Amino acid sequence: MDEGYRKTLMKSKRYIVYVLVLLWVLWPIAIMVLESFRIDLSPLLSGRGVQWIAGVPFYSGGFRPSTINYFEAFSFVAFPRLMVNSTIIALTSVVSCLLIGTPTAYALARFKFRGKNLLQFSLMALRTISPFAVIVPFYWIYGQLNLWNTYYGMMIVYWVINLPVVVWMMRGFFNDIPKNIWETATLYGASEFRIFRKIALPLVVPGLIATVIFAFVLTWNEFLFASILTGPETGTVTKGIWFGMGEAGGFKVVEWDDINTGGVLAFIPAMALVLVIRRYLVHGFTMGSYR
Amino acid sequence: MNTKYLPYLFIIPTVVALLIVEAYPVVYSLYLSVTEFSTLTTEPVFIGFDNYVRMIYDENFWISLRVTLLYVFGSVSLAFVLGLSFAVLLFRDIEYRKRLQTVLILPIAISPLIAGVFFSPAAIWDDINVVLKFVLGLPMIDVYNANFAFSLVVVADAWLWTPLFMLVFLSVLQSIPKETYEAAEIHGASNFQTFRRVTFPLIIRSPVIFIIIALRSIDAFRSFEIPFTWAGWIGAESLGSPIDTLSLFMYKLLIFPAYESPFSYIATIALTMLMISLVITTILLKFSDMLWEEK
Repeated sequence: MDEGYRKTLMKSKRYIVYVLVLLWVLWPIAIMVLESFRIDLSPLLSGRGVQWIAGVPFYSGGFRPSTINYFEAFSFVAFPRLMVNSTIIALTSVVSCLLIGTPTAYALARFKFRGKNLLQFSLMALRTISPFAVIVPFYWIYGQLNLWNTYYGMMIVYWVINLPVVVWMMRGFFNDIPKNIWETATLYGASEFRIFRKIALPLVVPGLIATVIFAFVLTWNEFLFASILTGPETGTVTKGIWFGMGEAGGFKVVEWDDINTGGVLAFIPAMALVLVIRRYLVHGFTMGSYR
Repeated sequence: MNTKYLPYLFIIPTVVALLIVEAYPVVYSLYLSVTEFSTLTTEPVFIGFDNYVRMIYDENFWISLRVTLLYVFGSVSLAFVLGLSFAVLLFRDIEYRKRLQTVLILPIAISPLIAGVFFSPAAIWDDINVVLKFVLGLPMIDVYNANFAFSLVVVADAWLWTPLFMLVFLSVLQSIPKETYEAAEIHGASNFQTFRRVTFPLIIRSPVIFIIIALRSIDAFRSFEIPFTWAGWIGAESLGSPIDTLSLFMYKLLIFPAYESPFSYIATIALTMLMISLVITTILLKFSDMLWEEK
């Protein structure tokens, strides 16, 4: 067989595979985006969407792009409020987790102490706990303490998700710091807290930012805790997409267009953030054990 | 300062937080699981292990457990295979690797709830059915059939997590020294042979693969959002439907209580799930310790 011909064949085979792969990944997302603009492809795909009336092509359905959904989302449905709620809850939870978890991550990476295994086990167990083992007790105690439907309550409950992620990710970053830095610092008489604040923390700033973003996206996308523990005032984006504003429970489905519009609006910030930290994604999802 | 007690100063905040978000819920769930809230007295009554016995005799629990295990197996293995194929594809192609990778990781940013939405009958399957019926003249797929829906739910979950497997495999592939491939080439191995005899064993032996499979399995074991959205679409609101994962089962108990004292029963099931995942966690920790030792 001719060499050039073979090369072209190989290349076109590769492109066909690429098209299939991209279709698998992008088609679902594309459908969501199209539906949010009120474009329904099925009449076109059926081959009956276009009719010829007196020699003029005429669309019989589906293809009427409009931005009305976005207009509605931002004016009537109070979608911005959901975005603000989600941002407040995710940010406060992640930042408080960072304050709580970073020193622990440092201690886990640097010291050997009694109870270390127990602490690691508890953190790993928190990562694997069934959400319902958390929701029922919290639902009860939040009712007692008036924390249901508050930002504080949601901040605390999302520690369940964020604390293990933050501690294990940060531990990985602290572990990467060369050991002789500690020895040198101790030799010059720096106290442990000084070493932590002045040497260790500045060295892991990129990792710190990656951790914040990673945990933020996790919290932003969470649905189950939000659907039960938030009320009308603190509803998050994911809850709002499914239940609409101010309702809870059951399998009620809001308008199809609204779900898709909300989906696109929730996806855009998450996508931007994920692309920013794409180098750290593996690190985050493997609990900081691998780069 | 005494260095012996120093580490404890660093971990105090986390310990307090763990007491709030882990010890309290687990203890309270334990308490719930051995009590019953009678509707007449509203005072909890100690009933021992009756809830656990009820769970063992509950046919819906076993259906949900079976569905969940199938879900875990299907989703993780499909994502594994697809992720491996994508990773090999990207690894071979230096020209487009960066750009393709940017597109292929997009599903990671998508909330499982939204994935459930656009894998729903009204979105993708609508179009597929239209093409099947009007262009190819074939019968339509009955996506509202609950048994069929289950496999689609698994596909949706695999779609969501394929990029993660892809990224992990890609970083493992990139960590394999180039000399390995060169040696295989010198010995006259074909592309496929190199993959089967050299690359694949190296990938499988990497501990990170074990970690990611274990973590994904635990997450899929708790999986809720995608089956939940589908329960809305296909009207599977009763217990014991073919898409009831354990989490959805508990949610249904919470929203439409079908048993007496649903809270106690939910706590019982949740604790049982916790026990199962703790076993996996213990093994997982052994492996991650191995990784730490390597560094």
